[in-house]
Amino acid sequence: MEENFGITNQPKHNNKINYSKRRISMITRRLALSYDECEEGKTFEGLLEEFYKDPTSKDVEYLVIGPWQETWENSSKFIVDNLVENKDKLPNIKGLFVGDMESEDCEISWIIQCDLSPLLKAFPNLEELKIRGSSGLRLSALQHEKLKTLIIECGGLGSDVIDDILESRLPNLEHLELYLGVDEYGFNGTIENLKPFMKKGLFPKLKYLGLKDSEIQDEIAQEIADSEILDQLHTLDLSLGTLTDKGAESLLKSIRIKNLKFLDLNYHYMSDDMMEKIKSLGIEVDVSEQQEDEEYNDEIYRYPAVTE
Amino acid sequence: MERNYVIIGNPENRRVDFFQRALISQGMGPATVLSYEEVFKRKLKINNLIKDGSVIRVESPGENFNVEREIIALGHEAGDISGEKARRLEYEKGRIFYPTQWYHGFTRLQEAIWKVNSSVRGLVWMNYPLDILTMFNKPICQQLLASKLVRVPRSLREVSGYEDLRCKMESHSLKRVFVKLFCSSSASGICAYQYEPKSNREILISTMEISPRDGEFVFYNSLKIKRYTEKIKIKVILDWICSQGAQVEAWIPKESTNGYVFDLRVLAVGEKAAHRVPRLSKSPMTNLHLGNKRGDIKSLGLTDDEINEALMEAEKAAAVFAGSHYKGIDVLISSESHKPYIVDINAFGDLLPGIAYDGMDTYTYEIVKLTNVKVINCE
Repeated sequence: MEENFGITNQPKHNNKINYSKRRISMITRRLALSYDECEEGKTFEGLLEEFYKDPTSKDVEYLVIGPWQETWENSSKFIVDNLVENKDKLPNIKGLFVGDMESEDCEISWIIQCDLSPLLKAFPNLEELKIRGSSGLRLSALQHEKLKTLIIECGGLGSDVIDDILESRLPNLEHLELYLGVDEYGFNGTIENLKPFMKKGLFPKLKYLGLKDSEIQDEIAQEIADSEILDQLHTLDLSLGTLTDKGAESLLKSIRIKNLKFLDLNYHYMSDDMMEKIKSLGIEVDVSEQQEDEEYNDEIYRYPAVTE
Repeated sequence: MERNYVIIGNPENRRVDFFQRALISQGMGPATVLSYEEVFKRKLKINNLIKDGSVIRVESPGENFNVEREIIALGHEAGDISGEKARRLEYEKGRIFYPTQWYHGFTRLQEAIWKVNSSVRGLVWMNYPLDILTMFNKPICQQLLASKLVRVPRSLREVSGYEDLRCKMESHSLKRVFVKLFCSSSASGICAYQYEPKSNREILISTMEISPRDGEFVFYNSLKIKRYTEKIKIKVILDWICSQGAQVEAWIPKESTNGYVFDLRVLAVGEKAAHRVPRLSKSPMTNLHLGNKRGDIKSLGLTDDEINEALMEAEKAAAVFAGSHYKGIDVLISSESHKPYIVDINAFGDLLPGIAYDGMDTYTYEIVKLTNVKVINCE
């Protein structure tokens, strides 16, 4: 555990976190409770206490919250409360990642989150918030002047959270990435809930939009293909979902799509033929990780990459 | 002095072929091969095939259905079906036949092989039949390791079935466990099980499949990882494993690299950690025959100290079976803390084609080390 407390620009477990180039230059700390520490009766509160005592904690810019004790039973609320209470000890926080764990630690749909909005209020200099797990998650009265990046990774995103984001005020948001998932694990919306993201005006500075990992990826592609929002984006991320030729056809026909710098369709159910057509759009695309349909009792099944 | 090697195994199996090649590569003559089928035909009178001073290598009896049937027949006293019925069993791909009876037969077979030790002088065993039996019995093996202070996951003892498992998990504060068929190998009958008390959701991840037949269930291993979320199926699988005998232990989160979890297979030869290979998986099962991939130990994100600690723990486990020349040890690296845990010891765990240590494959290395040891002893 000790190494985790030494100040470092390259965290020990950097393989677990997708650091953008920008973030690597931040002073990062990852707090995580191991199986062994749990067995010894240690708690996440204890880790936080040690962390605050460490004189270098005040320099930390990016804080990653890994597994806490009994993640499938205890929501992240006690961590949120603790961080809010101790916000003055962390004056330089610009990034937070709540729930950095793998299925080996806890199934993504079993991670219990809570209303994370108090974190945004407590850390006015926050530029990035990344969340894994949507069970119990809310972002009520979401408002922040500086937040540039919001990422929610989950197996199913509820309409209540989608509405929280639609009703938010995030004037500087540049990067929005939402894993939508499947109804079995919490996605209870329709394409109607997502249409507002495709209009202009909601997030004036938005450059990267990810509406991904969805079981209605075709509908999303059809709806967004000729939408206003494309005029301001450099990246459209429709990856990890059940995109087939049906949705891809609409993307292909769109004139607006050619204004993008990057179209991310990684993990998809498109045909070889369609992949070739997408590749010849004249913009950078990712069509890797082609999936195969699963057939069972004469029915075809397709799944997004992240669900349970 | 050139030693006479004897392999007791299934001659058609590549394991035997690999060992023969290794002997030849060391300028030795090939081993005498005593097939399990022959052993059964001669009613276990194997003495006259083994000379004084022979080196005996007991190989896996697996992947040969005739032999599997004979082993089950041999275990009829403990079992579900008679010897005659066992010999008439028809092959079904992946089917797990009567594990308790199989283990009983396997025990009698190994004991019979071991008896030769008292009638022939100066035998050198590459692996003791009695060690093989212990290594094949997971609950006993894990208890033995724990008693020798080898770091192993916490076990739940004597779990009788699904309901009992849930009770014991609750009282031991474990929400995630591995339930393993007591005598399994190669991911056969292994389940990763977890439940979430608030919503009472549960997931069982396993290669096992069930199929109803004549009012009962029959159980299979497939090469595909399945996720079960329906209680009714989960209960059928867990009840059956527990009825046969189960090793139940804490599911310790494994460390991961680039989205793959991994553990280490370490071959210990003469108690020293030799060949080592990280096994990378997208599921909780890391066995290589399930389509998982091998990794490079240097690119796992582990420090040299952490790798050494893992190898030392493997050597500590190997020392518990000091009489056996080699064993394949599975070392789990706990995520976050990088502490090593011994999760399995495989008596036939040296089938690691293409993996070299000191420039030698596993079989060649075992032969060279055995020769060296004996030379030193002679002096």
